Amino acid sequence: MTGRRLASGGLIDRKAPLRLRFDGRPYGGFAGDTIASALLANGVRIVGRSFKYHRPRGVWGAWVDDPNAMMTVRLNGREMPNVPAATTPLEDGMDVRAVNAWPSAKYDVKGGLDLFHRWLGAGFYYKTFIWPDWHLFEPAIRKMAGLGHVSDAVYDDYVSDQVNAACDVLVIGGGPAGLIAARTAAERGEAVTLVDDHPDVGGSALQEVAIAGADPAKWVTAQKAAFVAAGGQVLVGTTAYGVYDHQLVGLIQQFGFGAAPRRWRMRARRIVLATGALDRPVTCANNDVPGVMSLQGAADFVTRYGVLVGQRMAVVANNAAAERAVAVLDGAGGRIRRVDPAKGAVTVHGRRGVAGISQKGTRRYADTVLMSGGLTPLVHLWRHAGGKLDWCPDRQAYLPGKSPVDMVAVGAANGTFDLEQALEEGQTAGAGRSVTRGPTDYHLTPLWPKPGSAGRQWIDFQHDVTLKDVEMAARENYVSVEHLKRYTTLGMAADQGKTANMAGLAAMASVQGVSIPEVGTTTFRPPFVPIPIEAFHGQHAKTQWAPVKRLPLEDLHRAADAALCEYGGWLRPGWYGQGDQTALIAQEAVMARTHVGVFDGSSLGKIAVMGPDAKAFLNFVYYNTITTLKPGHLRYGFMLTEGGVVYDDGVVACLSPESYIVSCSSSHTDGVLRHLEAWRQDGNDPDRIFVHDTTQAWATVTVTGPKAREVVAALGVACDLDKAAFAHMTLRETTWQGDALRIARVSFTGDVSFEISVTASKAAALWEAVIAAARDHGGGAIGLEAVSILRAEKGYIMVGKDTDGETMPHDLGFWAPRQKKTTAFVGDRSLRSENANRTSRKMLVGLRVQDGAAALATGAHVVLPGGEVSLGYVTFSYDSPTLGHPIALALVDNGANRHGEGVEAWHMGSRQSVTICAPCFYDAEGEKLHA
Amino acid sequence: MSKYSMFRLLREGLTGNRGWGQAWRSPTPKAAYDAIVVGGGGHGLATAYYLAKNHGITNVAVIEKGWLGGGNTGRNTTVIRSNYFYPESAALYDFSVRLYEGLSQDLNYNVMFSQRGMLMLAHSEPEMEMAARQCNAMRLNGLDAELLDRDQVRRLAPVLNFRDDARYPVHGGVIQPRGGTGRHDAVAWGYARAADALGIDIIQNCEVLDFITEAGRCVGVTTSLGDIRGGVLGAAVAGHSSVLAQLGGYDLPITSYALQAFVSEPLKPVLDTVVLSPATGTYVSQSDKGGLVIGGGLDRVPSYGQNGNMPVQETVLGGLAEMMPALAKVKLLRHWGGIVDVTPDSSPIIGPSGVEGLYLNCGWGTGGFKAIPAGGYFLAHLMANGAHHEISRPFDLTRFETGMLVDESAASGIPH
Amino acid sequence: MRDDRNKWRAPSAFSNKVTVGALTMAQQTLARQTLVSGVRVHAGAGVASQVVSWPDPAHGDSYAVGLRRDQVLMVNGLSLPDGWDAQARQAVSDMTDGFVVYDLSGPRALQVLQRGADITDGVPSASALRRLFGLDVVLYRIGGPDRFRMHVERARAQALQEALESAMGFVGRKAD
Repeated sequence: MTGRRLASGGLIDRKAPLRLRFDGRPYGGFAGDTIASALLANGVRIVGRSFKYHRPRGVWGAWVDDPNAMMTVRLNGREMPNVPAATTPLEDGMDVRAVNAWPSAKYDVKGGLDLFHRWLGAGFYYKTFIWPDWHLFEPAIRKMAGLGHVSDAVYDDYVSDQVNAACDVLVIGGGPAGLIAARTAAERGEAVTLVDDHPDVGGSALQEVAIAGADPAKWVTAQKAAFVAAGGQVLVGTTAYGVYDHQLVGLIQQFGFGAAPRRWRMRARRIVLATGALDRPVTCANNDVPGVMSLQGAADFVTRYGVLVGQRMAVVANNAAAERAVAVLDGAGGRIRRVDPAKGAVTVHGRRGVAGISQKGTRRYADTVLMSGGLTPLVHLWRHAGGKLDWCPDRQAYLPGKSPVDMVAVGAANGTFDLEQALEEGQTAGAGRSVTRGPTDYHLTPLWPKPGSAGRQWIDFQHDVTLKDVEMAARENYVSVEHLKRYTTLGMAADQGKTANMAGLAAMASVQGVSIPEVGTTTFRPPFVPIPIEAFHGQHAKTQWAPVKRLPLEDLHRAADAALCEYGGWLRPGWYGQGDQTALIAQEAVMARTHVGVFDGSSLGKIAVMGPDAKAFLNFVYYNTITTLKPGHLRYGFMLTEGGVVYDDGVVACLSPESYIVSCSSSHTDGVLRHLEAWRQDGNDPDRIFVHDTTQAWATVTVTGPKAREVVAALGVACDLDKAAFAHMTLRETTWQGDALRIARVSFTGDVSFEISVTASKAAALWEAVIAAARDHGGGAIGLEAVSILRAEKGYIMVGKDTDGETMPHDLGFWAPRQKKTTAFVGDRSLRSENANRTSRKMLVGLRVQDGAAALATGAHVVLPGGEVSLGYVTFSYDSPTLGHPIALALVDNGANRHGEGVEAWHMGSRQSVTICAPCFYDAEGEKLHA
Repeated sequence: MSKYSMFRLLREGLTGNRGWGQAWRSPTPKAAYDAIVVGGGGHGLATAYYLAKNHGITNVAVIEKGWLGGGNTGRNTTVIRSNYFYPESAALYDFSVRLYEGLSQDLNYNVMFSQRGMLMLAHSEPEMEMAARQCNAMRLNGLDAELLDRDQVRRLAPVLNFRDDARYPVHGGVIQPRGGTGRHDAVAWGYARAADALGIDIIQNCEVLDFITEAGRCVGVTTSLGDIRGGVLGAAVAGHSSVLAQLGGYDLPITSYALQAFVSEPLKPVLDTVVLSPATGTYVSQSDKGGLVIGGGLDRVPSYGQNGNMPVQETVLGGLAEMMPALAKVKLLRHWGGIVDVTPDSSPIIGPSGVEGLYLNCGWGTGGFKAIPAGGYFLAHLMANGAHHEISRPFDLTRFETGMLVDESAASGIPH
Repeated sequence: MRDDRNKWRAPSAFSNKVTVGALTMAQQTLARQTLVSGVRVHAGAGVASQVVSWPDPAHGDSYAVGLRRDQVLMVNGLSLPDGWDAQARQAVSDMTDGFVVYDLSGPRALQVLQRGADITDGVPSASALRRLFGLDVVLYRIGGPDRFRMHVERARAQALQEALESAMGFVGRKAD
């Protein structure tokens, strides 16, 4: 005889029947059922199989303490793995299958594994599979391991809401103590949030006969109403899963099957822990047979779901708190036989279900064995927050001790199992006073595992860890609590030891002949219950994960059919037009070299550095000398790290002695800003230097090529663009159509080049005017791919591509400042180190391939002919469409002194002869540049 | 020690498994030893083992504050690999991988080294160029490395994100086939059992409170169980290196941070290799028990707390959901933290401490587990010979004075 | 290189005004935004009488927003030339085109923001600088308790709008 639905009672809605299938068979339940309660109501006994031995498993507990009923559930086209049946509300049409059992939990082909249990005990895999090779055995072991199978489907709307919130008081647990605490605090005017992981508050109230003289259900409703009326917030279906620094509590709020939960980051000024306590199993022979259940759990199944879990129930309990549960079962019509464990060791009989129970040689019939080996307060969150635990010999349990944060425990979580006392504690805590535990009526006869006793006695039901395993671990000297856990895997299953840890500790204590507190506990870690990875993801996904920065001209680029690519955190045109990418890019490069090219340089940093000390400050942060930079002039320079490594390169413009613009590379603007701010405030006078990032206020259109001057002239600016009047590396400030316009004559391509900047709202007008003029001169828009080729032909570096985390300025050929600059600058000391001065440093060079040979692979390494020692590597390689031959840049040991030397480019085992040359393939004299 | 084997397992199973001896003793510390190793994690235990095995020095004590293997060795994400860029790193880490390859047989303890490959993804053309740079460097260093294209990655790990809306599409990757995972606790226990069998005393629950120095030389330690003298000392205490340095009066350029790790509920096999996405920093493998073991970057606030906070959890786990969206529905079972000792170049410190008689093996940062055999081997070499092995020399503490750093992140081209 | 044009929503595809239930997000056009840094900016010459902080709202059209002890963002203030003002000892940058401005209003507007930042009225701040959905913004109340104004750098405007739209979607779900 097994479980059945009672004619009345429970919080289920008997007018709302639901259907489910379990392991292929149809069953019925009601709204308000969990999957587990529905199965029990239908008399289903075997709901799963244990992890290792595939022994039949029944439901143990009514909530988070059930380690056995794990399911794969399908509903409405959605499939979820490892669904805990005891905490998952039943929904109509659920197709439920036990994990790790085939073809069903009832008839699992692997059930025969149990016959080999003698050889499969704790840690057996450490003692074998050594020879010949672990890899031979691993695939089979992996297939046997694991619980549920995860489907490869992605559910697009499975997106978790992530909320930050704050409150004065967070009450965790809506049982009697928690309700009173919450109400008291709210009525004092505090902002209170009450969370409970069940579908509604009430907790253990449902098992009481009366509370404060009232019907428990009515009492609960009254507390909740008063709480809400006083401004309190109730979150049901919500688990507090972890406590983090500064009283930040993680909450997970469920919304039904297949819907992503909501995760709250709740910051509480103070926390009241009213999380209750769990029944401990009794460790005795055969205690894992389906039908062996938690006594409190059985009472819960009656009061919440109207399910009586068995007909002839043996109750094995050692503590006074058991009476309340027994009364509930009695009232529901259960036939109960009390078995006093103090009278002798108990043995459970049956294999696929309880068939009886014996003690001292006398066997009695039972179809269910309900156990309570004592109550264990749920102190996980207390420990997360760093609170101490005190061992209570009277209760044989760890209780909350001192807490370093503003947190109190009340009720059963505090070891207070008496209702009146729990209510008092709730009131005290709600009023913000510290809670002192009163004297208790609760007593128990310790009933811990007895090492050496007969029979197979389970400690961890899911992982199949038995008392003999603990004894073996002790025998082999894995005696510390952490060694015990890791060696036997006790407490490491999906329930994280909620029913196993105490018995495990007690067993080890007994074997060692020490007290339980001397054994200690393992570390309590979040989450309190398993929560989906999606709960940490939410809308911070796809295009909201590291979103790219957008150019002001993006819509125009799209209209011009630009391919938009991610460069250094920006979305920028790579090339324009549809078709063969390589051909299009080549066309753009040739056009820019022979006529004119126009590209969007708006992403380049424009950091304004201002103030009376701006000049000296820039001279300090730059490798190059800035003090000699005159207004209207530009200088190319490097910012180094303190290690002397090139952090960024860029151009500094002097507008006036107190006003400069740092034009740093697009990918580094945020970093350069932080770098400048850090140094501004450290060792310099921040009241005399100010740094503004004005990058976004300006758009920049760059015009490059032999016809660049003509195109700029077509804008009609009041500025003499002539070669003599407007030298390379100078700047003019003028106006265009009523707006300020800056024109910098600076080149990244090696041809005559003007960077024209206007306020960002006028970008489109400027771009269109420039493009129209460019077309008139045989040119047009070019993208970053073409620009990248042009600049490489000239040997202009891209930091992070042609430099790595070791490259110093002199490796790039810039020697003067380290030899000549006398004032301090960031990185100068490191330039004097042994490392900075060795001859084998990697230096920037060019590489020429043999006539007719193909371009090198970027990432190929440079070696001596026939050699296999890396001398460096290729940083850029392309078949130049403008020069008609491949070019490459590389960093090579002592490269600057090896021009002309023949070496090889080594890529994935194949070699290509190359010659080291100067890193410049175009206009080495600079004639084009200064034209 | 009682030998482990299938035959023995079968025999013991028939007789109630009562014949297995202790994996290690719990000896009372002597007043003096020829050598003392401070730190009973993987590195310390391996050091003791190699002192005995390679150098015949068996009168050794390993002194451990807590329970052996309880620090980072018991908390890491179990990845073993040697896919490094510089020849010095390649030599060091691959020496370790080669020791791992024979370790189970050497120690007669199954450490479950599963060489299922370590795959680093590339998400764009420029990243493929970096991958090629890395792959070539490895091959020239004598390591196994292959460049994979998108299809090859897909065949290897179909659970990855190949959707059109992937933030970081898979372009390809570079794999080290000999990389993989190991059972971290087993490595500590295996070394402990083997060292103990060679006569080494492992003293647990014994905290070093101070160093004993005489005439400028370190000659022992003061512990919670009394003074213990040693002819030569080695310290392998990972995240507590800076604490020990304060006691010993030497300087270390180390900052200690919390590093978090994560494990999911056990699943049937869904991932057969170790995968890292440089875009999010998240990496993941599936343990032989079925849980996904997940890791990522440090918590950036220096701490000894061995806890971490939500921002990193969100980055690492959110990164996993980006990398393998089908697994967003899988549940996190547990997360924890350790302390990592980070040096300026993220390479370890192996060598003299500056205090005569005391050698260091620390600064492994987030990458110590893979290097346990090598760390132990080379610290033992130093302690036994008073001089570096060729492979450990580049990692000497003096490199921070000369600037001769071995900066692996520098080589990667990641914005520095 | 991979062409990602279809991965990212075109700027023109973002609407200037989005409504979800009683929540509205609307882009604002401000006549002038000026970044001013200097030792006396909070009290000194040229700055409007009100320096906005958190959580009290800004009122009216013209005010300054506190960013740092030495920096404010002036909204619709006087026109000042860019650069270093030696007289007032302050640095000025016109950021009118540099920041895009959104107003978010509705009874649950704060809950939308709480999807992106740990922000409450209970923790006041003299600085209106926030990290919202991972983006740096200037954020403050304006006009009343349920209206918030955000200034975000132009290049990140679409990112902020997309984040706000998602968050509004979550908040606009059935009340729970």
